[in-house]
Amino acid sequence: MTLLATPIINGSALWKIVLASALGGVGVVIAFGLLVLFVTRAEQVRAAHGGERVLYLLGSAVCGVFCLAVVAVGIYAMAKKPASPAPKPAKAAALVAPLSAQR
Amino acid sequence: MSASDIILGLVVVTAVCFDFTNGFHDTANAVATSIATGALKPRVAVAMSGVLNLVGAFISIKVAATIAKGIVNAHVLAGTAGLSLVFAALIGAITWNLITWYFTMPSSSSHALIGGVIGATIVASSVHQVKVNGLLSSVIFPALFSPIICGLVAIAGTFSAYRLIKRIGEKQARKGYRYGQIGSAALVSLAHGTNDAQKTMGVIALALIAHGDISANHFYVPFWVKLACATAIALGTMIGGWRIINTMGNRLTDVESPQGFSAEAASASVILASSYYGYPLSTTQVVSGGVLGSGLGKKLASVHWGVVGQMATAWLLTIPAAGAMGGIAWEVSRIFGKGSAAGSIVIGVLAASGAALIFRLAQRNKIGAKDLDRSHVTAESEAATSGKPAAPTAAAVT
Repeated sequence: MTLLATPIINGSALWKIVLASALGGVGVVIAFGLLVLFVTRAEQVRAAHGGERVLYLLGSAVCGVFCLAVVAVGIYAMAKKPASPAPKPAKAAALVAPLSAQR
Repeated sequence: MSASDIILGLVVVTAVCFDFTNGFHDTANAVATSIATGALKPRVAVAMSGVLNLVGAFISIKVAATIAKGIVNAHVLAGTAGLSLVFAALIGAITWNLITWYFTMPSSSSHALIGGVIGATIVASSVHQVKVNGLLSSVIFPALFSPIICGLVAIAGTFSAYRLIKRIGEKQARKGYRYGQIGSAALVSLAHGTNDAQKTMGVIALALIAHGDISANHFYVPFWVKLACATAIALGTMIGGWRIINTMGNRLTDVESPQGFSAEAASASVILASSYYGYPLSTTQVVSGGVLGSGLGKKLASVHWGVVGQMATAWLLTIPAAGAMGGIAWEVSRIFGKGSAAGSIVIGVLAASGAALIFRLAQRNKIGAKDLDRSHVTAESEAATSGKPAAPTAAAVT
């Protein structure tokens, strides 16, 4: 069964997809939740504890940067996704024969 | 004007129409959960998604693998007969898209197009012209894996989000995740534009090569093709496929803002990672898996398995049904002679009549933006009703 499946499924790419999806999908949700948590805490301690507030704001900034970085990586992946190679001259003629060549 | 010129014109127009149906069929992928949670007003959501689909179509101008590459033998797509075959395939795909839209079922437009090509190829040539390995590796396995991966990521994301909500406080958390949903919906829209508009560009480019208008040796996609495809998918998205948005946002599971954010984040991650690593997939199936996962990731959340079953059936039927329609379209056009313009015109007219009939039937149980507007649901009221079944709206029970 494994032998049959090997040429059809690119296990390495599939594993990378699972890892990247988990990091991006779950990571962003946690980071965004932490961002909201830190901002909320920073608002709650606004008056009394200046130092603590700075720490919370710093934490929220780190989470915000993480979320933005994931979005930037996503847009980079979109722009740089591997295109199908342009047909090679010899194969291109076989891929689709232009009508002009058939007349 | 030769027969091939007429068929080429029909292929281009039909491909643009297919892109338009792809747009309104797949609007739900990006905005269904944002609309369902009230994070965005329906009209605002589809307008934003439409603009981002347009931008997305231009982000990567490298044409993704042409739709038939590796699935059928290339020589069957050559010459006037090849143009007719592509035309029949497009007719099959559009018809299936409209049928699933009428029945409010999210299904893959890409699979419909692949099904159309396979069906027309089998009828026009033989089953041996279909590359089984290519079909398995490019279509079947990604269709099996991608919704499962996205569903698992969404389960983990939703579970984490609700753990965090206990620390943040219901009101603030839900308010925050609503803002997050706008960003995640935007990213999914962008990814959809990049993925799906490219496929139609590939089909038109293939037709232009077959016609001899562009050289296969110096392959490129003319700017007018990019502009036409990008505009068609954007306009289709802006029209708003309310029927499918309703199914995806309201009928699969009761979505709250943390679930919506998790589903969209998981979907965007899977779509982008798969695109980058060269795995072709259906955005519809990925997003459906994400929404389902977000329902399973929340304790006591309800997943409407009956609707999930109907959706899975539509997925299973997409390739054979679109294939059957593509095959029938080819057979009808062949009555008028192989590669004849008359045959293509006739199936074009028949398909347009069928589309008009489906639109007319859909007016009987029309679902519009107003039916889906939940922007009156505030973060506070969402928190108050969390865990309780959502009050059914007229659209939700349709």
